[in-house]
Amino acid sequence: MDSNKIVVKISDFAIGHDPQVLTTQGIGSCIAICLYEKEKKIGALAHIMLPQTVRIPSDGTQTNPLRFVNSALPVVISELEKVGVDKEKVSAKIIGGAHMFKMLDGIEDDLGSKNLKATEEFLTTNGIKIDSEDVGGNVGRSLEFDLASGVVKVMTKM
Amino acid sequence: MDQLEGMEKDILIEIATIGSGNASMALSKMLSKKFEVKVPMLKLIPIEKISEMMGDSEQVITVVLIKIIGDVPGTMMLLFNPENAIKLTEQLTGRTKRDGILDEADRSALKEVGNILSGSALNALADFLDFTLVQSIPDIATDMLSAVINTTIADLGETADKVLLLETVFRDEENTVEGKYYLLFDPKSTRVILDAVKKKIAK
Repeated sequence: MDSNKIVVKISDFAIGHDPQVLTTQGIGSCIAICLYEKEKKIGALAHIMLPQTVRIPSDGTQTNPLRFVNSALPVVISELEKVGVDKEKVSAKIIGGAHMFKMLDGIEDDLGSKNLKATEEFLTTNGIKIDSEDVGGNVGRSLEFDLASGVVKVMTKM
Repeated sequence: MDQLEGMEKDILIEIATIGSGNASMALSKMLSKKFEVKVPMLKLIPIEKISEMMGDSEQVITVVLIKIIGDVPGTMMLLFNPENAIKLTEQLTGRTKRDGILDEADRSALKEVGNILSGSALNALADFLDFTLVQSIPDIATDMLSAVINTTIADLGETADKVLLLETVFRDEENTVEGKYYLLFDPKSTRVILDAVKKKIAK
């Protein structure tokens, strides 16, 4: 594999810089967020499963904060700031939030839509501009985020 | 719940064996040929590792999904690679597929297989442990493995880091069709099952 490529797994994130490429595979109802500062050519990619921590487990187990939009994105942004990124100059691209099964929908929105909504709300609240979105539908996606250009390439199989 | 004690594990495998034995018998009847099942594999697995364990993240698969509702909520999945999904639908519908694409009738046939397998496995579990278990209507999706799997298990991740996973491989006697059957329970449901087992043994 290309040594410039960093693979991001589910409930995880990575930070990189030009000429690195951040990639993640098989995004269904999950949401992938690409954050980029154009001048410095530094970016982050997060692959997140759920919108927010809704219930506290009663058996004392701790859930992974990187699994939820509301607890993962603050970590990602703070790590970006540590490497000198100016939050004001960051823009975002959102990929995923698909609707893979009809049955999983409640009376409310499906999980994909909830993930998208939580992400948009968080970014807007934090003053991060959303450049583009490739979201929804009923198809799984993979992506490559090129940190030299900020371009995000989305691939599907179906 | 970080680990299962030896006896707990044995008991769960025993229950799974009864369930999958029933399921394979139902499938054998449906297709008038023998299906064999491997001894179920059981493990406690972190949510994030489930799809990785099942295969390559971008590999295309077909999954029939059924949610279990009742005393022990859980998730049931039936997983086929595209080739096997087509072969099985050919055997179910008696049609020859040349285009390799699952149409509505094929999808419906596979959902029915999910219904029958899941119904017979859950009945065994419910009878053995005096539970009330209801299954949802089945749904089906074909796409990249991790996109489909992570969507089905996401709700378990709301409250748990690890879940109980039971995997059974089944194939027909001519070795033409193979599929995998999964049952997933969160720690709370797993605890309910184990407590019921212990009560049953104590009697």
